[in-house]
This record gives sequence, structure tokens and C-alpha cells, in this order.
Amino acid sequence: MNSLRRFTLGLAITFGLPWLVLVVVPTFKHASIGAMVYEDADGNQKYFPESTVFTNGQLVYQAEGCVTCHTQMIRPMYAGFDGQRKGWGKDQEKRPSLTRPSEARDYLRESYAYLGVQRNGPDLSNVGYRIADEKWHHAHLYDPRAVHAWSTMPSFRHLYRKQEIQGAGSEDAVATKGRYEYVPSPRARALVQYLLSLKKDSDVPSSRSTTAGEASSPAPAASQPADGA
Amino acid sequence: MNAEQTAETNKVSPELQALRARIDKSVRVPVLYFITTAVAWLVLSVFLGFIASVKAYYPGFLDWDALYFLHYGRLHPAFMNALIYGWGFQAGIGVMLWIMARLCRAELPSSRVLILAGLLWNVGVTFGVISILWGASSSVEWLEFPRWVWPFLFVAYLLITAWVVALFKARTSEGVYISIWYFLGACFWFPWIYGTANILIHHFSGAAVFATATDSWFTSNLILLYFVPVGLGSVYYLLPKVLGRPVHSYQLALIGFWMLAAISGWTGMQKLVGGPIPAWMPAVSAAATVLLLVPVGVVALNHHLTSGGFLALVAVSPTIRFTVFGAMAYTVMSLTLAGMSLLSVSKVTQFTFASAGFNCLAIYAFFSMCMFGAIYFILPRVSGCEWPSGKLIRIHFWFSTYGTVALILCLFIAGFSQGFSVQNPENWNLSFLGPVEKASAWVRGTSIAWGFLLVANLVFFFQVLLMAFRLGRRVSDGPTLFPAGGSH
Repeated sequence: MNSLRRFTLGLAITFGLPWLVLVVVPTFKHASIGAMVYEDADGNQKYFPESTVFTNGQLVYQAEGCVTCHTQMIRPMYAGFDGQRKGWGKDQEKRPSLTRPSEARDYLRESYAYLGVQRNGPDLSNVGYRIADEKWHHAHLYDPRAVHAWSTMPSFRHLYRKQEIQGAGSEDAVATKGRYEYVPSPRARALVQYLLSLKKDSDVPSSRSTTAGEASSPAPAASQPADGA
Repeated sequence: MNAEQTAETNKVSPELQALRARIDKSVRVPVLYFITTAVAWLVLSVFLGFIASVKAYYPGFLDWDALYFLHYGRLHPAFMNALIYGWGFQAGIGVMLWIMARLCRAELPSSRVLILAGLLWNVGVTFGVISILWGASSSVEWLEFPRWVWPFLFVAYLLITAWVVALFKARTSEGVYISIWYFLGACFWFPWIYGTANILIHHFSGAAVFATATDSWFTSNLILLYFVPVGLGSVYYLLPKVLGRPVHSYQLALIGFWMLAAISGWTGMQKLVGGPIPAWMPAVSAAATVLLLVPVGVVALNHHLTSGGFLALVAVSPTIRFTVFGAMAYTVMSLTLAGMSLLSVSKVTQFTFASAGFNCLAIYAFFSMCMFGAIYFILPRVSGCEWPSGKLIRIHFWFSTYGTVALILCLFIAGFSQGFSVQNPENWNLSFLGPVEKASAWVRGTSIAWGFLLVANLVFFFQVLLMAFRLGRRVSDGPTLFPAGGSH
């Protein structure tokens, strides 16, 4: 251990190996994944994923630190009970169904996948299916406890502008106070558009599913953990 | 009983004493600079942590229009970054510089560059934390600073690395001590990890999920390859030094070091188990966290055999008491890390307060307590006076201990309550009320714990400031120990 060169070489080899295998190679290997084009059972041309998120709104999601409390990752059943929670996937019926686990392509064209660290609030992977009402989102962002008394979400009032009421008032107003009303700023609108675009439950091409043919059924069986390729 | 001086002054030649005085003088300014600013950041971050903990169950707290930027989503990352980069890194750098200089028996060539590095670092952290609150966060865990900040920290750290290596090359001591391996390791690993993570996440547009995976790897390695080596380096120096006994086994230390070096890099992905990355990645990481228990056990055994039977000093020596606490927390932290990567446990704890609990365990119970121990040892030697009050040190210790244990327990119980509620099939069609309600009482508990930590660190900050301005007790009165009598 007396030679600095040998010591450094030892560190470089022991740390370089996991660095290459676990970080660098996977990153570059999967760097250029793109959308898949496939034909469904009826011979229609389809894309996987069907859509991507509204990126302008993701910038607001990022700036406000929503990822501190919300995840965007549906785990397969072996790793957690996410798949069977009602409303966490595309299927919003009042009956048990299974949401497929998230795949690498679900985050296509995003600069960073906000998989999350903690769930102080519910998972948002598919909130676009769950709550498609723009007004609900604005009311909820403006004052979460007006919607759920038990909510611990902060109020995002600062994304709403105060303006004098003109005539019958603005259609978008989330609240009024005397002569004034509060309307969504462009940032609030972008954020809500982003939330509405969170639909990470596109049909999986049957060739990628473990149980071929079932992929486009209403309750797709859990596909294998994504290999991202 | 001059516990801390047993090894220091007894049986030491006048030449060596003079050399030590010269070394201490050469590192005084940078060490004092890093440690005082670190403790200031610590107080600020604990304060932010306290507010964040209240907001986690009562978002109406301080929710005035003018303070809109203090909502949980911005505040929590600001607090964590202030804690890690403001306190953790600077405390580590200060302690590392002093111990390196002493162990290498080398005087610092010039301290100007180090002060420059310290300024760069503080400018970076200050702008970074303000930017997060301002709304310029990148929302990448522990890399939330906007992407123009990281070069500041990177360059500052490289300068520090260069100076630590210069100390090593200028060494006049014979052997290479165990602490030196750990410190050189920390100097080498951090730029590599930090550079990789920032470039791949902020400046490379690949697939989004792999950027997230890189971040998971980064946070894990920041703990295992910066906080752990600096903390252990400090323990390996202070235990033998203060107890006046050599490290029990050089061979064990060697095994512990190289296994840590070889295994840590494989960890991190287990946080994304079940995620949209290839399943082998979390599996490999989970296996690595379990394998890591071998070097942890080896290090714990070595520390135990080194200090065995001599721990009566825990009653009198602040350095030993904090250090022993930190060393024991290292074992607990590693067991927790391995436990939380088991699939049956991670099903429940993944995405809950338990992960925050682990971070507090690593950064506060282990790393910070080791740093406190080291700072109680170092400051009298660089500032030329003794700690003003043993009673205040005692307050710092007990409030820290009570606060950190309560905090970790509350966070873990809150995490398990959240996890079991999400995990319970009976709740499949219920709203998110369950997890929020189940964790609520324990999240409230964390606020009390943060209150204790705030008191502890305000007291600590007060004493550190007095020391920095050389307003402590006279050295000739002997080192400040815990007051005699009483059960603490």
C-alpha cells in the first residue's frame, strides 16, 4: 500500500468494473431506444408507446419538486402491490384488474424519468386516465384540502394569478375573493396538461408480452420485467 | 484524567511536539474555515429539516403567500442538499485535511488554494440551495442543484484532492496508516461518481430511465464511497489515538477496505427493484448490499478488538463517545441497507419514509456523529484553546442521540405503516387516505426529533464559534471532558 500508483490502480480496477457494467454500458446500450411500430390482432398499425408526455408541463413538475412525494412507476406484482390498485392503470372500471408494470419506453422523449423516491401521495403514472377533468386538477392544485380534507399536499396557489372580475367572471377561475378571482397562470396550465398526458399504460405489442395475444385485452397480464431493449 | 492527551503528549519527543505544532499551524485556516462553515450549514439544514417535517403532515404551516417557495416539494430537496453538500462534505473535508496532515507528518504547502476551493464550494452550494427554492431544481435526487452548479463543486473538490495527494506525497511518516487509505479513496471516488452522474444525467440525452438508474447508483455510492470512507477514516484514527492502543489487525483492516472498494460500486439499483430497467440490475445491487455485510463485519470486529475493555473512556471523552456511537451506527446502517434490499422487505419499504430513515441513519447517526467526535478532537489543536464547556458538549451528545434515534425510529415506523397500507390487498380500491393517515402520527414524531437536533446543533454551533474565535478555555487547564458525577 506504499505506492500511490498501485493503490490508485487498485481503486480504478475495483470501482471501474461496476461503473462500466452497471452504469456506462446499460446507459449507452439503451441510449437510442425509440417507439415500436407493430400490427395489432386486427392488422392495424399501432405505436408503442401511443403518446409521450407534455414536456413543457414536465418542467413545472420538475421545478416544483413533485417527485419528492409522487412516483411514476408501476411495479410488477412480485415487487409490490401497485398493479392491482384501482385506477392506477388504464382500466378505470370498478372491478379488480391488473396494470402492467412500467417499461423503459413509457418514458420516451422525457429528459429524466421521474420514477420517484417516496409515495406521500399516490402514483401518477396513469393519472391522465384516472382524473381526466382539467378543472378538478386546477381546483386540487390551488387548494388540495378543498378536495380531500385529509390531503397533505401543499397548495400551489403561486401558480394562479389574481385578477379583477370582469362581467360574469372568468370560466377558469378556481376561486374568488371579493372583487378578485384567481385564474391559472400559463405554468399552471402547462402542469395540468402534463398531468393529463400521464398515460403510461399503452398497449404492449403482443410480441413483447409473455402471454402473446392477451396484450391488448382490457386487463393485460403482467408482462415480463422490461429489459428495456 | 487527561484522557485525550494520554497518547498525544506522553512519551512524545520535543521534536515531534514541535513538528505537530507546525503542522497544526499550517492547516489551521482551511480546517477552521471548512469546519465552521460546515456547522453553519448544519444548523441551517436542520432548521429547514424541521420546517419540512412539519409540512409533511401540516402543509398549512408557514404557508403564507410570500413564503410560497417553502412548500414541501422545494423545501425538502433544499434541506437535503444543504445537509449533504453544505455540512457533510465540508465537515468531511476539514477533518480529512487535518488527519491527513498529522498522519503524513507533513505541513500543508499553501493554504490559499484550499481557501479558494472552500469559497468555490460554498458559492456553489449557496447558489444551488437558493436555486432549488427559487424553482430551478432539476428534481434529480441529491443532484437537484441546477446543472450549471456542479462544475463549481467538481473543481473545488479536485483542488482538495490535489492537496490531499500533495500531503501524502510529502509524508515524512514511515507507514501508511489505515485512515489514509480511506481518505485517499474518498478523494478518488467522489469526483468519479459525481462527474459520471452529472454528465450522464444532465449532459447526455439517452433513455430517461437510465438517467434515473444512474441517479440511484449515485446516491448509494455517495454514501458508501464518500460518507463511509471519511467516517471510517476518522474512526480508525481516533479510536487508537485516544485509547492509546494500536489498531488490532492490519490484515482485517486491509480486507475491510478492499472489499468495500470492490463491492460498493455495485449497489444502488436495488432502490428501483421492479422498475423499468433490466431486472438483473436491481438484483445485482441487492446482492451487493448483502455482500457488503462482510467488510462491515470485519471493520466492526477490528474496532471492537481495538477498543475492547478500554471503553471506560466513553464516560469522560467526548471524542470517544461520539466516535463509538458513529462506529456502531455504521453496523446498524449496513444491516438496514441489506435488509431493505430483500424483496420481501422492499415490497413494503420501497417508496416510503423508510428510505428517508435510511438516509438519516447514514448521514446523521453514522457520519455526522463520527464528524462531531473528530471535531471535538481537532478544534482544540488548531485553535489553541479548549472547548468552553463540557456540559454543553453533553447537551450536544444527548440531544443528538435522542433526536437521531427518535427520528430514525419514527421514519421507519412511518415508512412501514405507509408501505403496509399500500401493500394491503384489502385496500385495492381505496383512495390514498390510508397511507397518509397511518403514517401521520409517526411523521409528527419526526418534528419533535428535529426539534431536539436543532437544539443540539445550535449548542454545538455556539461552541464552535467560540473556538473559531479562540474564546475557549486555556489549554493548560487540560482537555474539556464530560463533567464528573451524574449518570451521563
